[in-house]
Amino acid sequence: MAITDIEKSQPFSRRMRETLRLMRKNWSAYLFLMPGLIHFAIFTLFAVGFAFYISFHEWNIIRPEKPFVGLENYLRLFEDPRFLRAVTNTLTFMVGVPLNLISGLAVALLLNTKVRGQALFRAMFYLPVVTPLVVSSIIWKWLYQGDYGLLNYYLLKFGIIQEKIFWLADPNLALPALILMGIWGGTGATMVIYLAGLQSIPQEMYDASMVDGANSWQRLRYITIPLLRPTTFFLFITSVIGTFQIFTEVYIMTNGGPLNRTTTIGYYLYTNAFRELDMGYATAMAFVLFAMIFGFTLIQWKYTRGDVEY
Amino acid sequence: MPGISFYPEEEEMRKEKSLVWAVTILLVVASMLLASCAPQETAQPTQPPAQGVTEAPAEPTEAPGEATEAPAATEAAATEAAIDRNYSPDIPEPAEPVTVSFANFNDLETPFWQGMKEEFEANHPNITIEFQTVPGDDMFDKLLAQVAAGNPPDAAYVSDWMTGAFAQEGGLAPLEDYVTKSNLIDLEDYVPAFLETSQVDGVQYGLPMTSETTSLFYRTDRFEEAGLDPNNPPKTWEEFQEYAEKLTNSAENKYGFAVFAPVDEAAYNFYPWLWQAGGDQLNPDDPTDVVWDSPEGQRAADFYANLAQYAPPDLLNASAWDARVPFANGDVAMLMAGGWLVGELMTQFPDATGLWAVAPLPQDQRCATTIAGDHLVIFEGSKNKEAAYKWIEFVSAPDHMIELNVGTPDYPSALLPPRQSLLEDPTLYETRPYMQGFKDNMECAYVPEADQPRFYEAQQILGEALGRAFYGEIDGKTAVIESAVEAEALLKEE
Repeated sequence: MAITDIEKSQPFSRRMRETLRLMRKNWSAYLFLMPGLIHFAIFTLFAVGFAFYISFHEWNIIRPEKPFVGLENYLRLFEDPRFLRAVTNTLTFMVGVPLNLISGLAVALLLNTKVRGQALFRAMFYLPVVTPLVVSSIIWKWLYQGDYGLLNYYLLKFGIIQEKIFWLADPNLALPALILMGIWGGTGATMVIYLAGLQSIPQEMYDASMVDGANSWQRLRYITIPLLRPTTFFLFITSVIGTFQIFTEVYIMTNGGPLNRTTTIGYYLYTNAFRELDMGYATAMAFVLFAMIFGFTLIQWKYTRGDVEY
Repeated sequence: MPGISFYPEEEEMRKEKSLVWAVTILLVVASMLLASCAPQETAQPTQPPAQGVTEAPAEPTEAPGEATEAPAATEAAATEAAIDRNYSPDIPEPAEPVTVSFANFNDLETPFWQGMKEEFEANHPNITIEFQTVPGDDMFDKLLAQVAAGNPPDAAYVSDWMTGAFAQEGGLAPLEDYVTKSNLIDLEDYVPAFLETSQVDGVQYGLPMTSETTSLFYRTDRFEEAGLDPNNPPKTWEEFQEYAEKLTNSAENKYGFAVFAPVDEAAYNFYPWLWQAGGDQLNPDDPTDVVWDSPEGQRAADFYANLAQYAPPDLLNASAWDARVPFANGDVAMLMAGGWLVGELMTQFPDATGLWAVAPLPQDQRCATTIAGDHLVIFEGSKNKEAAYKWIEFVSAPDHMIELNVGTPDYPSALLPPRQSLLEDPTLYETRPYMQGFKDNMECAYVPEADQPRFYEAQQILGEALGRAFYGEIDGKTAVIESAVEAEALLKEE
């Protein structure tokens, strides 16, 4: 760190020379890094840069002429009711984020105690995370079927509902149904990270509080939850980013329907790119999505910074 | 539609195929997780995704068989050639050897196409046919890239909408001059609607080879259960609704019909009803004038949206492609679909054989249905147009046309030749009795006249509104009226 600070105060040419000298000295290290760097340069840096370039063009994949249109693709977004609908739907999906954190924490707290078959339970809760999303989406699609779905079968059998519920086919239920599935799929990942967070809380804190007469609720409220703030902060940001990018469940289970009620930004982007072949519009959407994620993360970073004072 | 047409089931087929691997993994996982507690009915959706008719893969073991068949075909051809296999003597044979490249989305290893090549080359010693197999999904993109690069194949076998798309861009060679010199091609003999799809602005660009119509598939077993005559499918709208109602018992997961709300499906499946009522999409004299909100259109929309009550809600957000499974299981008793469903039922659902039949769609003010077909075309960029023409003319000879449309047990086909004189040929129906329903539907083939390049965008507006009507958010009448206002604003804008 100190070296960088000194370098910053020096003229550019000098710094450049210094860098080159270091590169010559450590050339073998760069050689080892090369495959990764080349891959990153072509498939990430170049791809993102080129996408940015495309977003200012009317870029139909198969039409040979691809005229420059300036900001038109970006302006179109704000007048497109389907895009605005997709934004609303995506934000509605965010309801799942706190629910997921709560369920993950609850399971983590339960599995942090000494229960029999602890490892088995942990594996069971983690199984959805390692199941490919395409596979779990197809299973859930069947579970949610109105006529033949297992969910309705048991709900009817135990008299919880009297009539079939068409979970995914009902415009008002499809999105909540997807959120519910998201909680099932996300709890395992949240749980594991919370477990790690719980392990790092010093036992002395609990011992001291018990000497002071704190009950278990107070220990949870005043020790566990505050000390888990960094973990919660990390999980919150990653979950929000993940939710912004929801695509697979929608693609497999609902195709954005019924009546566009589950069309997310990611899915709408996909339909524009690969069904309408309108790459210019789709890439513009991708950069707006990027800006939204970036903005949300900055705000979260500013207001929910998870510094913990012991 | 002139210009661009859209078959939603193709899109679904494509997608579903890409999921084959996922389903395979899934079946393993699912059986592990659910085996113990799954009620027996859940077997319904686990049908593995199936392959389309045209893509039935050739099994490697068949290859020797084909090789031995081919010479036999050549011998037969040689004797026939002695009679007359040069259908256009006025078009000169090439003096030097030439190669005609031919792009095709069919499986070119099939006995039919191999036989064509050998027979033709025996008849035209200076012409060699070079096959280029193109996957159906990529065909349009690939041909477009080739045309754009100035390097198209000489000839191709394409879907009808591609003929329109390429011809409008000037990519195809007009066939007028060749056809007039031909002893074989009689344009008068082609079924008018199918001939129309091969023309752009009255100019002939394609030779229609196959035809299919959207028809009514119905379950004869379900008809009998409901006390309906399986030999007497519904012929009017009133009958259709009555049948649908009698066939529906949602408590037992039995439904009379299926409607689909996703945008393209909703619009595409609505058109036949719109036309039957006497309506149309656009005014032929002014293609920016949306007329699907006419009184006829309103009546059709109300009627069709009302049919949603006889449809399985689980399928509302799906497609005709998804509905093939419940139809094969008998849960859906009537289904609108094209010839592709025959191939699916025969190859993937053999248990349902004998339990389904095909009839024309019901009529109202007139009979009407959507159509599709494939064409033989020559590209404008071809350097061997005359030789290419001789090839496509040869392929579309009546006996070849029948052979291709009938198919073989290994390569089943549910298509009909689009020539009136051939439709009476009994060989078309001997092994395929269900084709009679398609044939009766041929005269109902309807091609809207209006030419509107932005029609696809307008269709999205209609489809979205109809979808809301199927879910009961608005009524059918409101859907067509509101969407017509919006679509007209779109089509009239500069």
